[in-house]
Amino acid sequence: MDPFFSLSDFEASVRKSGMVLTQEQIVEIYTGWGFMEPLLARLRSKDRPRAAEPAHMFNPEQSL
Amino acid sequence: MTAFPTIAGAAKLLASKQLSPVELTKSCLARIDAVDGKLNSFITLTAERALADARAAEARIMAGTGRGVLDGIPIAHKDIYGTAGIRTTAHSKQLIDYIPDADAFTVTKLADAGTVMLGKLSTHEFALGGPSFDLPWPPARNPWNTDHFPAGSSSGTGAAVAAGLILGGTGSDTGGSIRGPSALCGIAGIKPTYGLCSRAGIQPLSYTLDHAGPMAWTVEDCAILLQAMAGHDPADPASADRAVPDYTTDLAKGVAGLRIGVVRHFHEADNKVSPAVQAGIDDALSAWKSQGAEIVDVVLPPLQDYQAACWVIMIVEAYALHEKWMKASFNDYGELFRDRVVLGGLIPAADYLQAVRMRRELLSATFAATTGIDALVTAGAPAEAPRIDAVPKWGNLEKASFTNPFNVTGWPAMCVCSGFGEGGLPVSVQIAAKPFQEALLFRIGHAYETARPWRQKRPALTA
Repeated sequence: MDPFFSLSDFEASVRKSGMVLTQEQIVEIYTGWGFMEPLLARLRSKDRPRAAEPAHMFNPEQSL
Repeated sequence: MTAFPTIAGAAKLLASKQLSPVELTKSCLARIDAVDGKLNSFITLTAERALADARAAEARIMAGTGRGVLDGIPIAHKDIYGTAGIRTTAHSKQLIDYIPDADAFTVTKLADAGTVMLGKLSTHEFALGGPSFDLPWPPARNPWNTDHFPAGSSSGTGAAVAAGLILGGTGSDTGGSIRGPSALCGIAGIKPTYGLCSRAGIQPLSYTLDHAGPMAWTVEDCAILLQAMAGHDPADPASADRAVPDYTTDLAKGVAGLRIGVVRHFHEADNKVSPAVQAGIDDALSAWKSQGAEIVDVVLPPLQDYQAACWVIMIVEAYALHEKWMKASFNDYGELFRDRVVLGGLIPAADYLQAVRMRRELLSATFAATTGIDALVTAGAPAEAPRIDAVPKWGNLEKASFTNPFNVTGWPAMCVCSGFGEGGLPVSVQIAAKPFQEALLFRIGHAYETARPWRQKRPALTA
């Protein structure tokens, strides 16, 4: 599957992350990114109410 | 003693003093010595510790102070479970010399129940990267055909149980890592409800998706092991503070009157399974129907929705856990782990939050679709085990997994052998239930398992 993100954009994103990868590794992992993009699109496609709880509730009375 | 006793079977012999824990342990050690060179299921064998455990169990049993059904039973732990004084590597160069100073909570509980610890078992690297051939230890192989994949990440546990090297063992399941190897190795394995078994002391992969659980040859043996593993632990923030029911009391109660929902679109459309897997599911449904269960169709959100939420949450949380090493010692990971986890470092925070929000929606939708339903059924894996050298690097992203929905929802789910495919390797059916309904799952699994002959056949693995 061809990623929407271009290889050069992907490479810039990797460099920005602080991980030190070879060009060969970047090209290899870019293939995997192509499979990740449809999953991200699926998450973004939902029209959620603005107040839909993002599930990061916590109990202010509880000490862990 | 039969060649490969179950936990339940061995426990009876041990209790009646027809079998010695030392004899049983030595027979396991001998089989490991004979065949594990082909399987690679063990990373660390703790023979002296095992024999000491066995002698202690024998003394207790002879003195009439035995600790119950697990006293003297040889097991082993996935090598992400911390073991005090014993190397715990996560099958990774990153932890090659790591020796914890404390046991994981569940390791302690199993030891307190009297189990004999044979050692530490192969895993996919940090429960994600495998099958890998560039790690300090080779990957475990499928005992039904050692050219094939045992699945993962609890690969060593699956292989060792199926091959009769151990009577049971521990696994972990973030996206399917107990149920996958159980399916492809032809054994039983349960991912319990999120929070039922403490993860404290176990190397994490994803805090909100990780589950600990047992794997064994039979459903009954899984029930026995889970009984010992389950229980509240304040050291795990997700641990459920509730009483643990008896998982074996109603095991043979049958399925009459239960409503079992089949999620056909998962395995017939969303990710169509092989004919052998489909035949196994149909066979299980037929067995339960003939025993008095009502079979109904259930429609859930697409399998790919669960996959999207599961993978984005898992890979981002995994990156957060490994970020320091991903930047400082990237090449000390195997290729599969590091390449997969890189993706987690590139996913925007907004997408992670959308995945968490979708998780809530999926949980609500799953509850809504199962009103009046006792259990759900679908496939455990799409087909028999592939060759170990033909497992696609991005396979879990290409095709949605049948196991992801129950990590996303946290509902308990187990895989049970449902026959064999054209290649002679096992196939499996997956059963899921609502939170904390493990006893019901065991009933349903046991009803099918005891109605069919699949437990009579073991891998023809020879020295």
